[in-house]
Amino acid sequence: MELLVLQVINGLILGMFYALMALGLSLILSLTRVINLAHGGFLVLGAYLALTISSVVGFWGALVLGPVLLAIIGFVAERFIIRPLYTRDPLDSLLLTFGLALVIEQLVRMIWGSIGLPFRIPDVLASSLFPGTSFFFITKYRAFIIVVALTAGLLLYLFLSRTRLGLYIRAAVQDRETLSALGTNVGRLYSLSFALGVFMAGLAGVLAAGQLGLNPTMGNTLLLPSFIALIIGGLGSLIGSFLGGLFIGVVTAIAGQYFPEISQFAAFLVLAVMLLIRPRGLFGQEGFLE
Amino acid sequence: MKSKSYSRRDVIKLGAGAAALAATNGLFRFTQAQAGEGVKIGFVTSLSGVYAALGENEIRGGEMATDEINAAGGILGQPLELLVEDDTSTTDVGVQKLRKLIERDNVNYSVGAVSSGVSLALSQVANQFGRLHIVSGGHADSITGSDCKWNTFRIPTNGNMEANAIGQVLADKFGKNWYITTPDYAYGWSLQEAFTRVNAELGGTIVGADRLPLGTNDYSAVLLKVAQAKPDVFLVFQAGEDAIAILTQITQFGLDKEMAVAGGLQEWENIVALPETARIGWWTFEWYYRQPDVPEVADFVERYNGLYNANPTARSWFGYVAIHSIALAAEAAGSLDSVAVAKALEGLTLPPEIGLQPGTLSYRAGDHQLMDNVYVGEVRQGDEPDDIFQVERTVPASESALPVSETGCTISYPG
Amino acid sequence: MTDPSNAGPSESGPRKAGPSEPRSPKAGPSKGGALGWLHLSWADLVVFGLLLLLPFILQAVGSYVALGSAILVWGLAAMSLNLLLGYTGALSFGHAAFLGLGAYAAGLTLKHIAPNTLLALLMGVVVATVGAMILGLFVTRLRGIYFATFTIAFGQLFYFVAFQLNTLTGGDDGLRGFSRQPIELGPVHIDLMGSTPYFYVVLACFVIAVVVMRRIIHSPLGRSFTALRENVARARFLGLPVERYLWLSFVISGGLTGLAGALLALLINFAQVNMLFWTTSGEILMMAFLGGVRSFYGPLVGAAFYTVLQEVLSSYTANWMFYLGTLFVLFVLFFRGGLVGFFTRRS
Repeated sequence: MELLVLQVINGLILGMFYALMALGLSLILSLTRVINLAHGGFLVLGAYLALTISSVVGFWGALVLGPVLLAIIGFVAERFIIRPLYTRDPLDSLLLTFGLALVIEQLVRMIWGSIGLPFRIPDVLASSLFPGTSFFFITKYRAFIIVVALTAGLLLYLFLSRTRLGLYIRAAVQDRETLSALGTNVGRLYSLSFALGVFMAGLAGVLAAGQLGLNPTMGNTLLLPSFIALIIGGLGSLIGSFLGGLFIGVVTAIAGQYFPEISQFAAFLVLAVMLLIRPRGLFGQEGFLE
Repeated sequence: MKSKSYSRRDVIKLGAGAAALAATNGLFRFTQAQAGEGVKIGFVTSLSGVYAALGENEIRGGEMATDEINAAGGILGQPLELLVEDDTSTTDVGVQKLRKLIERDNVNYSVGAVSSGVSLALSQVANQFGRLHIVSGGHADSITGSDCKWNTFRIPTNGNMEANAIGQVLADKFGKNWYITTPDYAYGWSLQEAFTRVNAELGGTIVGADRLPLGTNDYSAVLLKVAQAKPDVFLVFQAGEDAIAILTQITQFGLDKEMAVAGGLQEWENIVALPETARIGWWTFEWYYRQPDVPEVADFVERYNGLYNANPTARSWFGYVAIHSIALAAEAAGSLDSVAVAKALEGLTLPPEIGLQPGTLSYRAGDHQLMDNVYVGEVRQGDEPDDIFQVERTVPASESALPVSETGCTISYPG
Repeated sequence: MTDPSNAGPSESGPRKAGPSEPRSPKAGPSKGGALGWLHLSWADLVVFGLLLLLPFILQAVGSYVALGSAILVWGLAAMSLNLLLGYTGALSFGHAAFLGLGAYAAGLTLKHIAPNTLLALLMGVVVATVGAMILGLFVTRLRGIYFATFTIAFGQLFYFVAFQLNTLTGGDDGLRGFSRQPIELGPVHIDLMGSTPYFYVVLACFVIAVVVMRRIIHSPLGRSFTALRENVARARFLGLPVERYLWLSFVISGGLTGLAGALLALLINFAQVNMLFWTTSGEILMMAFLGGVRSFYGPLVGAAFYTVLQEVLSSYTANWMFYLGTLFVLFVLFFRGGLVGFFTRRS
């Protein structure tokens, strides 16, 4: 029983990554209707950027500045590459972002090389939280991940619900035509939400690098479960994607305890079942992208 | 009639386009193939994809060897040309590239790859065309076991050799209760089998064993189990990125302070990708650039540095040995025919400036495995940034390799 | 302009009929008799003629015949996918599953059942078709992004299963130990070891597949597919059994992709789990899109382009995917009609 509880906690921590990623994906999807398969690529780019600037600003600086840098890149990418997709079929964005993901991976390889690079986390985080006990088997770094992810989620929630800009974004999600007719520059809102989503990916990238190391293909293993979390949580629902991410993490961890061989596939199984009984997910909006 | 004219242009464009592109392809190849006479070796390995770093080093060693051979007059008086192709770390591309090298470029012999899967496939292709093939990178036991072929020779160590070499060291130093985590595919299973066998021979216990899928990000589930099981030695067989992930997490949990972490093969390229705090554990290497008791190594390292501004790794050495072996065998056979060269390779001993290891290395006739040493040692950060390994013992193949009768290999020549 | 209920790629503005639209009888037989029944236009014959000469063209420019076989194999896969994508308007990211099913079925047949090449090819088609029939029952209940995501899910399912069934499939090392056998039909004995004879076998299968696809496209069924692509809601209002037609399109598309997979396995005498991975599905999609999903031969053009470019570039740079990917992104942005659309814009 104790083992199960611990595995659930492990799963929640793993799920924080997926939740962050899914949150970013959902933010982009809700407003721009773009399905961003390049999210994993942005994650990797964010991680490598953080590594490069960490030699100047240290780990903590990189944690904050890395995603910001990435968000700027995302802002620019949105303007020139993604924006033409808005008037087109949502499935076109699947194709385009798939190609973009390939390009980003190669770009990373060309700039930083194909060999993995080490990412050093500060010593203060690199040890067990409760050393010597086998209960509460958790490192400070993993606790740190929880804190960062929850904070990011909370800040996003506050931003969307309490600020004026957040209000505009929520309005645009509901009904962009009307909002545009009322004189708001909806295009800039698109760019902002894309940049925000990419920021999330960058943050997830920095956190992941500390746990997995850096290599050009790390985005792929994190993308699909996050994508699954997005669908399970429900398209069009931010809270759904966050919870979906946690759910997928827990499922993977429990499978890892009892059926280790299929732990990577457990998420796909859940997805398949969910699509068959309730495609719009746990919290999804009716008729979204159908 | 709009649809018809559409189709016609479509067709013309198809033809023109394909021909134009194919023509460009041929144009470049013409200039290269003008070398005409001479011996050609096709080297198919990973230059992109997951294994790119390892493949690049293999090629560097191979090209260095090619230059040395040509400077000394070539093979049987003819110039040697190395044709390099990228298998993109996938099997179907690797197979197509080798077929191309054989059918279009008429290579005499082939060398490759990084992954066992690709190596097995290439060995089969070369066999179908009757070409000698040197495996420069695959570790699966079956390459010189149940899948062995007359045309295939292998340089890297195999799982059984690694287990036999390090098993005793671990038992002596740390104890006989081992926990195993291994990646869930054939290579991982065979490692688990080999080490379980060694453990049994030593009279130890396997306190737990877990197979984890490739690409697992989060090892906390299994690390928790290991922490509770408290083995003497925690064996980690994950490779590549999975190795980086699990080793990073092991050190974050502080597991390496509670037990010995060890495994089978490790590679320099993987270790340098780890943060310094995670460079731990007892592993086997296949070659190392710092070997004070082998004088020729320092000279080799210096020359390699002169060419590439980096230190050679085991992969570099594989590529180097592969090309030189072919040259030596062809000279010994006095012929370029693959069957003759293969027979000459059997039992061929490598001169020290190519063997670059303690003792004399030779290819065993029964299974075509190069009888090279297993370097058992500890990964730790030394004074130089590249020095991440401390060799404890070099175990000669006479001790580590299974007898031919137990490998499951029978070699039969054609005709 | 935007119609979110559209499940497939649509152009803005009035919907133009594609070149092989079943509505225009001009796309039908231009010659009478047997060819008319086959629904082949003379354009098809020109294409076949060119393909017949492909081995000689390739060798003349210093390339090699197996590349031509690869072009045909991937071209077939892309064209089969396009039956679902371009004609029925459904995007599948899981067609690699059928490619893999066909490949493994062919390989396992040769290895364990009988050393008969034709049987292996047939088994490849049969297994892939059965797989598509079963999966189709589930997937056709979904639309749009959900459809696409489900295809990713089952694609990965097959990948994991093939990976795990190590003794049967060879797992990560791949299925080997088989090779294409000579064809023996009565007194005729054709050795297929060489690349050139095998190319013609691939071409023969390709031609058969083209005939099948042409027939379907020009039939009332084919017209129903297009109806699904244009406007699903309207099709349903008109009384068309939408799910059944989607299922049929899925099955035919899957079966022909299985044929491509079997041909691929016999081309390299190897089958590997990578063939089943979802990124392989993505590559097939890229090929179809690069060539043009609105034309019948577009995907073949795209496959030729992709294969040759990959071949040429990877000999010179390890980063060939960067250039190919960038090209693909540019095409999605600016040349939605693909290569074919680009070259025929002025017509």
